[in-house]
Amino acid sequence: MKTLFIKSPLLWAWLLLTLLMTGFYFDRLSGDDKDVFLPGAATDGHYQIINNCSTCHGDGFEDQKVLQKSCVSCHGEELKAINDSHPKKKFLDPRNADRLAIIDATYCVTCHVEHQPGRTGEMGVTLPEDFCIYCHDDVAKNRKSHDGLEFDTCGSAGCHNYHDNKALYEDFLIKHKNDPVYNSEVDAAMQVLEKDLKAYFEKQDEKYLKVLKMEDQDSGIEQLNWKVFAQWEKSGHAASGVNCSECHTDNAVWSSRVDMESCENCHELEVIGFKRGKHGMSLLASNATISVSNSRLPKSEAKASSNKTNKNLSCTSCHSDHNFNVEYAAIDACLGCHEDEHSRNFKKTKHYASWLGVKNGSLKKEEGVTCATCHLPRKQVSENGVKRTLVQHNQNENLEPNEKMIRSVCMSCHGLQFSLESLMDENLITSNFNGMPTVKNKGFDMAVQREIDKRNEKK
Amino acid sequence: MKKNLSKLFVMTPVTVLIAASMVGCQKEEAEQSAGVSPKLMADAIHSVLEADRTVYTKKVITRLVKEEKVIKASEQFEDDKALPLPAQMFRFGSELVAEKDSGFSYSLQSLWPINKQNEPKTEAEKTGLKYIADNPGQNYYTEETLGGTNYYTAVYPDVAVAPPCVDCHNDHKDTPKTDFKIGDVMGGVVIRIPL
Repeated sequence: MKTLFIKSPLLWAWLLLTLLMTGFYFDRLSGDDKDVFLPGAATDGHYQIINNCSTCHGDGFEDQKVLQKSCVSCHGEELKAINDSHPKKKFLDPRNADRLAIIDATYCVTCHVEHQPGRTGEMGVTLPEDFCIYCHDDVAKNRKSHDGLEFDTCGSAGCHNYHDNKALYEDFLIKHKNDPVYNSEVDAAMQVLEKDLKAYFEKQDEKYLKVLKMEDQDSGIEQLNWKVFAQWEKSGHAASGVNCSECHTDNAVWSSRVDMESCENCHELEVIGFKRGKHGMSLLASNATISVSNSRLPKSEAKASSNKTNKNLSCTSCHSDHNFNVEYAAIDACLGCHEDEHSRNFKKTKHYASWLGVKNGSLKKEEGVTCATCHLPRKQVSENGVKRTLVQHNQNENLEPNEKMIRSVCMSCHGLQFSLESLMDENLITSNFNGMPTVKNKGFDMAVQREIDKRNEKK
Repeated sequence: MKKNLSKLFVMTPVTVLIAASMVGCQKEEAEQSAGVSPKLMADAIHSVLEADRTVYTKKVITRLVKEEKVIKASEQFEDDKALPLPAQMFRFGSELVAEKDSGFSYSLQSLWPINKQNEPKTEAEKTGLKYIADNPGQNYYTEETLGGTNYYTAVYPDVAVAPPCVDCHNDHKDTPKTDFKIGDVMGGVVIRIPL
């Protein structure tokens, strides 16, 4: 019997296979590539953090509460900021028990199940598109305009979002019903970044009042690299008293390499935004940001294989070091990586023409539009008790659903209806808004008509 | 003024929580002896809610909006940089209490709601709201089962205490009733305590 056991080739093959498989799975479990364990590919929103299961699942795939905590830790703040139309707290009253039995709206994963590419729709929603019917089946009773409308059009017709309706609610539509296509005065307050940022830092420390010249540089490097010093001298850093040592010194030791933490010392809110955005979110799951070659973005062969695009993104990927040219960061840095049609078409648009107008002096700075104007918009924040302008480096705050952009970006220059209809027009998005919208937002007319009808009823 | 308002914003839910915890403490003590009835607890909670709601309507909305005309009250109070409506104040408080898992819940409902989500849904709510409308000054008490949990449910009349209550409801484009008068029962406060 014992001899038979040792001589059995099948048994040896089984043992070998078991050992090989154990080694393979152990290697994958401890490494960065955990695809083999995934029940399905991750959504575009989460693929960057997919190789660290604990980012969402905690330590042991415990229960929905752990997942919910993870969702809220990344998305909770934004949902509060937009006055979420369907927050968890609205559903906690026991009178909603019958609704929760059908669709438990107190958990994000009820509607957004990860690893389900076969049934994941827009915004990562895994429910059928007509889910609004569960609670609003009688909407036509009080709104005749909704009679006969299918429930899968609530969200797809540009009228409602489940979470963010701050540019879509009825009173807002009525308030802006007569907006022109172009506002006569653009929101200039959002375009005073450099001046505003300098003023902020000057309030923090008097040393930032000083304007530095090349001869003031304190690198201590004997063999001067004039090109680098010349770039620095022209930068906002030299103009704001920020010398070489401020970025290059770590615990009083000179370092030729400057990492993100050094930037964060002064630009904390910008770095927080970067880490929450598409460019930096993979830091949640690993010690590295994403590289272009690892991203899901459309990219040319040349870009996919170049050394530059294989590098992980950092502050200096867009703000090239030493000159920190914010104009380069606003357009050319983006187009250096983004190869989709929308991006490629930017330089054919009126938006880009406006930026050229700024460059040749025919337009005011606030009238120029760059990629960053729309995707990394400026907002007013309060930091250390001082109000200042911040470039929001978290694109997610302003990206999808695209109605998120209406109030923070589009309405700085355009009317509400024009903005809404432009964002509904897929062809217009592809052309990077090169033309006028060809689709109609019926919700606008419904809201205005309802207002008229109600007024007439009272007469 | 802003400071005082923010204090009031904080004080309303806090007052409710303190009242609830006091009742809770009383309940614990009482359980050791005779126990506190859910009715007593519901009545106590309601007296705090009613008082805060009346104070906000009279001392804030009526005074600043109607009499002194220094600020508006608006449903879109953030965009309009205005005061939240009394019904919104009440709802925000109830949502805060719900988030704290305080052992009870409350909501404001009506047979003539402006927001249709606030019309009665459960049988107890439908019966209770009709009862308090038909019997001014009376409360309605019952028990019901929701989502597998038994609740003691109390419904209290919500009465128009000041001109802004009736003016706003009568004029609102979504109101189903346009002839409210001061003193009318406009809706009901529903308090639930799990048994």
